[in-house]
Amino acid sequence: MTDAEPDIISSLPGHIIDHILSHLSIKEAVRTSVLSTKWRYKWATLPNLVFDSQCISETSEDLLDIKSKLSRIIDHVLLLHSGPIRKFKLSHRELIGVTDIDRWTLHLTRRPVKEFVLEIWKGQRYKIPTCLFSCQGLHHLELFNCWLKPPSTFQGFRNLKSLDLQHVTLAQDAFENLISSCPLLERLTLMNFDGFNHLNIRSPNLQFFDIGGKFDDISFENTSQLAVVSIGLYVNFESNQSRLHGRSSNLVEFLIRLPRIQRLEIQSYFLKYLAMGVVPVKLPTPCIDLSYLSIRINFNDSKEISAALCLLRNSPNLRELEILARPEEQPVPIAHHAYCWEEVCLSWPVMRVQHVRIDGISGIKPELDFVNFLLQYSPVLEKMAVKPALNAGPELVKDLLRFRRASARAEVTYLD
Amino acid sequence: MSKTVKDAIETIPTDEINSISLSLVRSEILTKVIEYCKKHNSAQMSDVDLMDWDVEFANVHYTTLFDLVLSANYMNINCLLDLVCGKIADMIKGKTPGEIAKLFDIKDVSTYEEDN
Repeated sequence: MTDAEPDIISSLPGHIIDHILSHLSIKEAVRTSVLSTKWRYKWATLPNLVFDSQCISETSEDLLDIKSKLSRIIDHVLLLHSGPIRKFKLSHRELIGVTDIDRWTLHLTRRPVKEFVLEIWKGQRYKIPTCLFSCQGLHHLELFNCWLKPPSTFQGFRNLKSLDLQHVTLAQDAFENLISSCPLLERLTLMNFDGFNHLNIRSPNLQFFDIGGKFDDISFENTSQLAVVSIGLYVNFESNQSRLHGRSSNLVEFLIRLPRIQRLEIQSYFLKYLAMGVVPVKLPTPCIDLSYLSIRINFNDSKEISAALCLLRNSPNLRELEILARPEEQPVPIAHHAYCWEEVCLSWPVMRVQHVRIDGISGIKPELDFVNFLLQYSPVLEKMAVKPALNAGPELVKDLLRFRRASARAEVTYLD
Repeated sequence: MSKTVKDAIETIPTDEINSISLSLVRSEILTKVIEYCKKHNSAQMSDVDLMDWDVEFANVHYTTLFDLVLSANYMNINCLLDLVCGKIADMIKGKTPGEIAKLFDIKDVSTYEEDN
């Protein structure tokens, strides 16, 4: 029993109601319209509209019914909504007809929407309608399983800061044009794409770059702001050593364009790509801002070890290191001899690495040499966590225990 | 933490500051707000503990929640605003319109059936 004034909630300011309703699913938010006459259109100023699997209670209705229900809901909401729409997200397992999405996209470009997220779970790549390419209010664009074919009149998204494309098809020139014509772009994510193989990233404000896919080569231009980079090359190519003899290193070319890099992840076969060409001992400029490094490495490939060591040697401020062993199915070519550690250790600079994680090693000599090396040259090491591969024998633990440690505080844990 | 207070401090010349006017905030609520700000500014608690503390802090009668939300709005404290709005939303989630109206004492319940 309370003697407080009744119905305070209905008198809260509009933007606070928006804030409260934005914590609810769109379904529950719209349902507040029946609470009272005052509440009829309180939901209609919600800035973010998210249509996902929470939208309709799927009570074993047939597919067609769910599809048409979802269509009606979105039509209803878009028609009654008033005020600016900041974000629109559509991600539902049973996706609706293409003409519906086209229609909604057109409507949204007139609002104009700032964040547009479209995830097509099943079926063919959805061809993005032309109208989206003239939506200049976009700050964030996220597409999953779509086909992008910008019109010839497309001049880029002037205000786009963040772009996330996954499972997309895009022609080579369309891709390059897209990246270079979004001057404010700060974040770029590309996962599993086709239609383009050569990645030429020209983006003056780019700070975050995350890519995983199949490509032939990658180069950066005017990307001095890049701080966080994660690259996964998902195809194991055959490196033709004779063709590349004497050629300058991919690693050098790569790092020279990323002077301010802070976090770097080298995944899948990308280290193999970077190791092509002549791997130097010293880089033209050290990576002074690099504090986190994660590498997927094939310990049987001495070139990859060279590339990894080059990175370690030239990153004086590295604090955290993650090494993931990449098991190779094919036998290693005879040309790859065992790595020569004596030369390395002769003039190795002091490393300031504090945390190391090593995953997937089984105890072969190159792996042990590497771990031994890390322990000997990291005087401020605090923690090293080792997670063995499934086929690792018990000797691995014995070998690890044996190694001398430069850091008295180092804690080495073995994760079963 | 409070942008309103911060702005006030930045605009008034320092030797003239004796008090900052927060006329719209009742003293009991202001006490709670200060408690929140102090807790969040001290670096003593871990993130997980702080989240637990937040849950306890927001576990109050809804009228207090509304006072808090208005104060957080007036004083421009975004994290507190977020916390309290989330809590109010939690109280709405999963309830039928009838239950919501009863909980928050909403008058003039519409009998208009919206087709969801």
